[in-house]
Amino acid sequence: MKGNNFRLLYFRYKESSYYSLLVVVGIILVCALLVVAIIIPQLQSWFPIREEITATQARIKVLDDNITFMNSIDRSALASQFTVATDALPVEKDFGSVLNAISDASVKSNISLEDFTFQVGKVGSAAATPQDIGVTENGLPVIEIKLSIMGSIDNTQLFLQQVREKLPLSQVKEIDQNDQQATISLQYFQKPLPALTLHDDEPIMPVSDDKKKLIEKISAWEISPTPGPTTSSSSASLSVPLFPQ
Amino acid sequence: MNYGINLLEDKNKAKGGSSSSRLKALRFVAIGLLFIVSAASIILFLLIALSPLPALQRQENTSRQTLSQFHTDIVKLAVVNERSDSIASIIGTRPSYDQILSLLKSKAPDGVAITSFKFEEKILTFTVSSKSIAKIDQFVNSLIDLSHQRKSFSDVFLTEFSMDHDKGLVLVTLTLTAL
Repeated sequence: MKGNNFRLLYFRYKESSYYSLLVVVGIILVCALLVVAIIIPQLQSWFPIREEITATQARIKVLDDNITFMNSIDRSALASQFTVATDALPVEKDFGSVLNAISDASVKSNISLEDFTFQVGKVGSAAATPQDIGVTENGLPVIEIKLSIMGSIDNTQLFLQQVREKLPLSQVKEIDQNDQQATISLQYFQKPLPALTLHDDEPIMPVSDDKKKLIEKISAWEISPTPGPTTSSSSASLSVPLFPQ
Repeated sequence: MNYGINLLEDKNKAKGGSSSSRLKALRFVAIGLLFIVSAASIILFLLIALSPLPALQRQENTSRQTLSQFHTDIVKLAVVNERSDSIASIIGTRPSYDQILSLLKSKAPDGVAITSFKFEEKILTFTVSSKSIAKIDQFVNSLIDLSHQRKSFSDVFLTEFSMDHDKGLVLVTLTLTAL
């Protein structure tokens, strides 16, 4: 019966202008709805997609450049530079290297090492503040050593030069020489590994030429292994490395 | 049918004429809108379907996986770079006492010897001895010239002057401020 009612209405009004008007208005409304609800939002989402495409292309270029660069570097040279850099500034307090450096310097400068004392501070603690572990003006933790040596001023000068050109890096804080005896206060630097966060989509920085030259220069300061015992009567009482490397 | 007598029918006919033209206009608008919506939908569909973004994202993931194999070397590079800065800073700022001593010895004429010295916080105090006051005077003057150049040290102070009669030596203690 309902169906017959609709059919009656259809045949009654299909020739009238109201039917056409209804259809046309209905089409216009539906089209307007489609434009507002679907077309415009889709168009608005297209622009961020374009930007994302551009950004992704830029990231891919950086990644590819980084891959090309890493394929081109000399790994053995990098490993050598890494070794020299960490020998110059050890990751943690390395007493063996310090004593070897002092021993080697005393042998080459022909002085006699008497006694020495360490001032270490906290060896390493996540809770330790930089002040607790004896930070220098350079902001780096240090091992402080006080030495007593026997030798002339010329020998002491040579010892200072030898210590300066040895790894790990050090600096003389204080020296007091009187006649044939001297007291030297040394600081040996160390530097913990930094907390690195790798961002693959950032360009990788190569080692600059200046830094390569610096690393090359200080690589000559590495202590060569196994110096033999000297025959001089005024030689140091420690004539071989304490900690063979 | 005589439309001239039936005024109501004429009115209706006139009304029907203007409403049919409006209806025609509306039909054009509806068809135009239909066309626009269809075209926009098709164009948007093609733009989204043919977007290179998914392929680019896959390519980016592949590149990241390839680069992850080099992470150890990248870390080494970063450590070398970071440590090089610190090494350069230390070498550039630490005092070279052996070079200062060498400089002093080079300025000391024959017969003048450094007998003791003390370095502390860039202050150098040292004692020289000689049998000749003139040579010590020459040495002190050369130090004063050096201090004026302000290359190695800035100030020269004579803090003590004494004589060792037994050995016949003149002893002079000087203080320098290293740069």
